[in-house]
Amino acid sequence: MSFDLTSNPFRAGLPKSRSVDPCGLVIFGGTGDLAYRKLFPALYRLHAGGHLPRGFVIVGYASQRLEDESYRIEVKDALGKYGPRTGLDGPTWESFARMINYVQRNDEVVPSLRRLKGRLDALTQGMLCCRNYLFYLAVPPFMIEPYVLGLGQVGLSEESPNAWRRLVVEKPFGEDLESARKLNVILHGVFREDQIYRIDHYLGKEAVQNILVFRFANQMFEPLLNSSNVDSIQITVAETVGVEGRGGYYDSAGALRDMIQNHVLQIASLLCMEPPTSLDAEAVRDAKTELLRCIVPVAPGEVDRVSVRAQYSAGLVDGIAVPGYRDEPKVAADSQTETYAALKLTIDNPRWRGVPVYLRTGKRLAKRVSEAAILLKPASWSSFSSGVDLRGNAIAIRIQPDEGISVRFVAKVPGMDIRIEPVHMDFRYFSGFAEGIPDAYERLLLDAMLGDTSLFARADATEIAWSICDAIRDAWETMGTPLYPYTPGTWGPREADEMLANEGRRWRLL
Amino acid sequence: MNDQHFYTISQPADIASIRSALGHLYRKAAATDDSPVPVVRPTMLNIIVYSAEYYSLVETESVVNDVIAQLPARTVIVDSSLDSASGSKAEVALMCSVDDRGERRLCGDSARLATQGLGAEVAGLVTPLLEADIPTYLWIAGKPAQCDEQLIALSALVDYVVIDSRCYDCFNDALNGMSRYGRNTSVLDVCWASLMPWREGIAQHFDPPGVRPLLNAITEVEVLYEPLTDGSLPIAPLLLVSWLVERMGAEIEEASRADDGLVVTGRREMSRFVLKMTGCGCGLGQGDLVAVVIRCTGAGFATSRDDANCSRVHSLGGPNTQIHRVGAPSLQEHSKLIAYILRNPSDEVFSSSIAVAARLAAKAGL
Repeated sequence: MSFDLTSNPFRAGLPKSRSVDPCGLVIFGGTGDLAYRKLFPALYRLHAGGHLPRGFVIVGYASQRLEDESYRIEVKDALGKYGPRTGLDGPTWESFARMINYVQRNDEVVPSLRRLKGRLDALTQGMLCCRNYLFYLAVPPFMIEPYVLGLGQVGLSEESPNAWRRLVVEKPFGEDLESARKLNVILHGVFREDQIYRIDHYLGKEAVQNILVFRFANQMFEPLLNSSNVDSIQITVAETVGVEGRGGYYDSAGALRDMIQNHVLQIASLLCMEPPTSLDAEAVRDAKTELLRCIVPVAPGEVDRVSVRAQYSAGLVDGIAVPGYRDEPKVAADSQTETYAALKLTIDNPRWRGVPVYLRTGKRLAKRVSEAAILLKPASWSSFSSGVDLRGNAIAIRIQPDEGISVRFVAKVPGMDIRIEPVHMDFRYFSGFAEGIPDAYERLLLDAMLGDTSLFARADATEIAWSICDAIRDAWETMGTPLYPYTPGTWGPREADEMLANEGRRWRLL
Repeated sequence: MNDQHFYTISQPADIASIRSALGHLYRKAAATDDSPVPVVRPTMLNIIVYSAEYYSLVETESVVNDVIAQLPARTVIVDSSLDSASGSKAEVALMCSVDDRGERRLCGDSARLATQGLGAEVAGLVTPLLEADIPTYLWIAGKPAQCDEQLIALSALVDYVVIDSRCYDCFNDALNGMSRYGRNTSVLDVCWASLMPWREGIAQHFDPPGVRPLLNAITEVEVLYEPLTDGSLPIAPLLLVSWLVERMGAEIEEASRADDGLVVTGRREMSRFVLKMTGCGCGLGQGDLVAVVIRCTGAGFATSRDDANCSRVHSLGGPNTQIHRVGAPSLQEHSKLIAYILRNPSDEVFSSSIAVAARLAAKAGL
């Protein structure tokens, strides 16, 4: 019997069923905020957990004048701030530091990338098998095109049997449908779609991944998820922070583009999609994309009934005075950009026809909380309905903080009378499992190295999401939809409450 | 960062008192002023610990404390050396630790019960203390007597029985122990758990698809270990060799004792290869694995323990030999091994490797 070489026979039964090929990771924007705050802490934890392959190399690529050693010191400082709260483990840091290298970018893109290629070849010379490279574009959108074209020009996008090449792109994936298509044309000019990993860190969150398991591995939930039982769906992604130094970018984006086009619609598609034919990456992405196709575009005549846009004014958050949005740095004094958006979407398919999907997101809201809630219709048996709170059952998936699932139902209050009150049954990850929750970037970086695209956005899905948002934006412009003010530290403008009240519903109090 | 809360109660078999004492400990832990993180009270599993002769009770308790600090569990320590009728005290303890992100203080608790003189009725003492509807393990710490009524009764309560095959005089004894106490449950082996880092290290050599063709060119595998003083073959290297044979899909042709170990000849298709277990003194604990070398035509792959420092290990790196060092726990690091087993109870190749080990032991007359 000769070995079946498609799999490693020694892996059977081991906790790590998937292993990363020896590879190199290049971080474009290696001295940037994203690299220091998110990528290096995630890589350190992956290394500490034994997930990085032997011979793994990291190359930071940026314009700052640094050597390998001085770059390692910067990374160590960053890990001190954003890494494990318990501090760095000496031997783990030492071995991690040995992986870190630095290449300085010059003004000329292509010659710089040639030097990068030379360095990569030298660093991976000792690898017995392969020259696999993952390129992470942690750079502003305008730098994506020159880097992608440059990588193609110097041959770093070309694959061979023992050399894969993958590209990670951070959002925003364009700023509207047209620019998203243009970006995809650029990316596809150099990389195949299966080499491209569009990262939406929300999809790396444990609670978001759990939506699949919650829906399809539990007989008690999935049969309820249809228009016969569900009254409505609410998805909330609320932040307490303002634009946090990103005023320039945010003022050209707004809540619709910054949050709804990606995070919120991705959550909605996972929550509402039909069962995928398998857990294979393409099958899951097909199911999500199909759901997005079923979302009915908002018509201009409808837009004021099904959406609210608003902007925060000056006020207090947690007792601290905060400026109004128009007083934030790099924000136009007469800015018409929304920092809050609430929408009602409808899904035109047999499962969800007639079930409104309410979405809201905003900055400077009352709490930092993200959740997707399924609100069921009230119980049909009417004997209990006299004078008691018979709000329907609710199933809420908390994405952050306190990841978990909460189920609301009613119970009899102990006593001689039949008195009914709503109660909550809570599952929380932090108390349900001893294992810590990996950071979203840990999971997504590992998946990109493993070649698993399940949790990354596909070109067609991003384009459909843009077309949904573009229709709303165009309608806002056509109809002159007002931009309401809202007070920081609240749940947004009164008009958003009225939007639901007009349909006999209300937002969940989170 | 660990903190411990002990509370002693005076009624050995009074379940209500034990429950009340545990509640008191959790309240006490929650009220600890100097801890910035809250106490979380999840119970992931029940562990019944039966301490036989191999470990002392003190050592067993120390292992339990380490384990429940890593993995929040309800632990019931059955202490058959304490007389249940003489009014001896039962003890309850709580062990809390902050997780590696510094975010939460996870707590596990333990109750030690005096059971001397009891037989199968021990089950009635232990059952009310188990948390409902979570996996339950029976860890037999040491080599139990041939027919232990308490153990037989306890093994009927659990999903998994954890033994340590090293505690037995020979591999066949261990097999008998597994079949006796694990008749209706899944058996897990501490010694097998100790092999996981080795298996991971060896597997990593062959993860890159470009390297895998060399699997068809293996000519020799050598497993180096620290010999036992009595000259017998330790079980950990035997299990590792058995796993390698099983994973290579090989047939054992011959197996015989050599001066310093064991030599096995195997066949895969038309090709023969040799598997050696070789004792070498590298200053590690008795029976510990030192290194594994897989030699192929034109290449070699060595996996050695990271703290092994001796001439045999230094000479592993021949031409074209890749050396990986693994941070494998010593066989003496019981709490790490127990915690690992509890986290990873299912291992699809354990039973097939045990079957190969049984054939190997029979061929070599071990």
